[in-house]
Amino acid sequence: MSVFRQPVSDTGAVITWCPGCGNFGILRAFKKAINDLGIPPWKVVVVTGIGCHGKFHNYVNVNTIHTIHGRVAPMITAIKAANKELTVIGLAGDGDQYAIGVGHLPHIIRRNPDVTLIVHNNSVFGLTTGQASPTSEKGQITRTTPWGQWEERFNPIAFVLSQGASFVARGFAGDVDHLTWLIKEAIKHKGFSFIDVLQPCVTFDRIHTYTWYRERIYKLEETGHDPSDWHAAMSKAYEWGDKIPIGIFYRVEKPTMEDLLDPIKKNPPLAYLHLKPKMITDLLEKYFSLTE
Amino acid sequence: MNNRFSVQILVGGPAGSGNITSGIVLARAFMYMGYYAVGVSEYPSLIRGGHTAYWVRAGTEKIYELEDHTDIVVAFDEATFQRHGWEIHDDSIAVYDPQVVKNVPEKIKKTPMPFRKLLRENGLKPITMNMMAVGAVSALLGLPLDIVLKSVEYQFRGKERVIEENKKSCMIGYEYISSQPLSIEPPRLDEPKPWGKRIMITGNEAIAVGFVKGDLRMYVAYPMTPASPLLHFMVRMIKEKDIVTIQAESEIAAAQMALAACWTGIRAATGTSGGGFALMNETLSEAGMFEAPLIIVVAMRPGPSTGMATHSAQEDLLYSIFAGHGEFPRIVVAPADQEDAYYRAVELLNLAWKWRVPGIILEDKHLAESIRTVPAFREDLVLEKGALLYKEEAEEKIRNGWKYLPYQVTENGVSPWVPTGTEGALNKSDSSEHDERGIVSERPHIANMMYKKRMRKEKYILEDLEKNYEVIRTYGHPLEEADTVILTWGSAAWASLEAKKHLDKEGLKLGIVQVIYLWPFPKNRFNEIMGKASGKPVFTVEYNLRGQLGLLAKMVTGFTVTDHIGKIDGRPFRGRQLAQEIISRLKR
Repeated sequence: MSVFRQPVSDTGAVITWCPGCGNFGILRAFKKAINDLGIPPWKVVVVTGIGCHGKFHNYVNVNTIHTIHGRVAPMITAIKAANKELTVIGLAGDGDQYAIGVGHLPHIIRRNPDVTLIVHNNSVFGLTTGQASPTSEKGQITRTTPWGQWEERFNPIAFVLSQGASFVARGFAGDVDHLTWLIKEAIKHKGFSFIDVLQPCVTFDRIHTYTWYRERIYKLEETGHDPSDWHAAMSKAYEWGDKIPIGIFYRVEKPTMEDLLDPIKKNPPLAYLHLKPKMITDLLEKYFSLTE
Repeated sequence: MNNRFSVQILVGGPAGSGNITSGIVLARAFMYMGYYAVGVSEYPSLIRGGHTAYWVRAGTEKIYELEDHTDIVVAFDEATFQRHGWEIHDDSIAVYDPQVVKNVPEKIKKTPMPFRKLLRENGLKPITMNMMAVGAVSALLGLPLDIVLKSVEYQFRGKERVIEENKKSCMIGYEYISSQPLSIEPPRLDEPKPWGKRIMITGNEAIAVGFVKGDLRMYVAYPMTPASPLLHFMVRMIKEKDIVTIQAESEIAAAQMALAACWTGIRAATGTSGGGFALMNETLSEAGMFEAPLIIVVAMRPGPSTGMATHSAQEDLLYSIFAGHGEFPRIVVAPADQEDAYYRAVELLNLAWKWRVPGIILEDKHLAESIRTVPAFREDLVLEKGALLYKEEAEEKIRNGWKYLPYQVTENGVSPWVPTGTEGALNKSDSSEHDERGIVSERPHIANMMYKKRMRKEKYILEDLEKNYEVIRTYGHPLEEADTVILTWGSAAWASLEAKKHLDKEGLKLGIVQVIYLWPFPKNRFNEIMGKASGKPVFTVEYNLRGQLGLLAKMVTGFTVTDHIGKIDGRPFRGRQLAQEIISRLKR
């Protein structure tokens, strides 16, 4: 006799997240955002990494890649370059993006492709059964920190702000309406959009529960925060503890990768062009001393 | 007259002395005149100082490799003689500034030349000294000055003042030597026999031009010697040929970006050397799982680890074939030379897309960075889109009821696929085992079905390769008539071809077998060809110690070679050197 009936997703795949997992909220917000924006599924690409979040692709009827651990950022960059018409969304975990894949984060910011990166930040490695992640609290007990985490907590918002990301936000998996709004704003933003989503892990994290977050969270848009003020955003990024801000920290328009790279800018989506051999004799003359 | 079918020139000096440019300008002048030429560099991993060397060998017949006999040595430093003394003979001629280079070997014929004084007197910048050396060498060999100056002009094209100054320096060098009474009789090349439309190019550049021809639309790489020149050329193609070229933050990112671009529906590639390829291995395996035609250029240098960054080796043959966890089909091709590199690059793009498998172009530094005069590349190549349907085609089919499955199980394992963004079709790719829709599945019958679908392509690829492509090349004496057979691949074949010329004089007939497509290993063609060498000594010649091609052949076909002739010091064999080695092995 089963106590909990596992839900079935739109694709027919059975959803294997724990009951109460924060991922359910993110999935609902994602689907609602795409529906509200009216983007046809074949125009949407989702790339996921490795971890509990990395089951997401099986549950949504859009184009998807489930890539290897930590490599969501380079993939979404290249997909946008190959087909600028697509709405490209990367989903990564905190282990995925802030540990093994953190090296890609400054570079997607520097390139500023018009894509969205959502990090399912649940402060632990869930799928590998509860090891510490870069966003575990100092002192947090996990499988790999039985005497409490001794390393400092990684600050994702401050990190991406420091590198000049053009859209920086934080959402909460327990507030689906607010998260839906954030995802829609992120997709609409022209350039690289980053959303760190606070996501309770009901199985392996005893600290960051729904209640813990609800007692601390407040919305930046209700405080008169000016998202064009980078210094204000940076000071909000360091607020963590009794008060935790969610919402849009920072937003600015900057040239995108698609504006800056001629072959993308000048042409229709590269993926739609028919295969055609290019002439090379001009190169032989110009570079290789073509002699009759 | 001291006539020769070929001459060899060495220009040695500190890094930054411009000696490599001297060599390239000379090689081009030879090509303009109708000679064949090769140019080979040897340089340490540093930017200024140290010692670098550049050799040019030119002749009236096809030149495959350098020789162990240098006719003219231009020395901008004393290290030139210290390092390369072994290739200097009684009739070699040295050109040097006696103020700078004091220790000159006794046996060499000396042509001192006051480079610094001439530069000063003529108000020339010291940086033009390398062109003065070009002038001096040209005068010694009796090359027509106007053709040499044309080569100087091409070298500095687009920079008028630089051209004028360098031409002046070249002329002064030419006049100085011409006006000196020479105590020696310099060599003279036989009359050239111009051989049609031709170019001078490196292996890296030839692959790049192949990528342009093959409609590659994205190249992503992280700098690593000796693959970096490929990136440098592809970056120029952003403006010239509409190719998106990106310098990635790591080899991991480069491979991931190229893979994602392929997945979206465009031809994409990356390039690196051993260490970077190691970082790409996880992505290579993912490309195997995605059945994505990701192309990786592996430009080999000696290992292990950082090894000798700027030198040449063939140590990664087995690594290229077996890199990546899990089992999946791939195609590995090792171009025969710079000309072949262009055609094989286009061909590999076609094959990878036809079979939906990753492909590796395996070259070594010697091929990647050495120049060779080759017939101008043909324009009339055909591109095959393989299993990919164009967007409109796919949408038409879908409107007519086609149910698109990105991993549909088919007879030969290849699933038709569509560009991402096609209306009514979803591309779903999972690095986890998945079903025909691309949805994760760990059920045993699905795992069996999908794993075997991927793997059975290997059989069909082998059939296709052996039937329709030149998988193995043979040179020299037909194997039935040969006394000894060399089994080789990539640039190691060049010294083998020169060794043949020497062994012919000794009455020893050498047959040479060069494997071009290394994986899937062309076992039927191999057996057929090597069957003709039955009972004869067969040596592998490779720039590694294990004899990796021999190991591979043994693994797949059971064939056993007699012995392995390897070289792992980063410097390729010279023709005579290899010939002597073959003779001494036969005596054992």
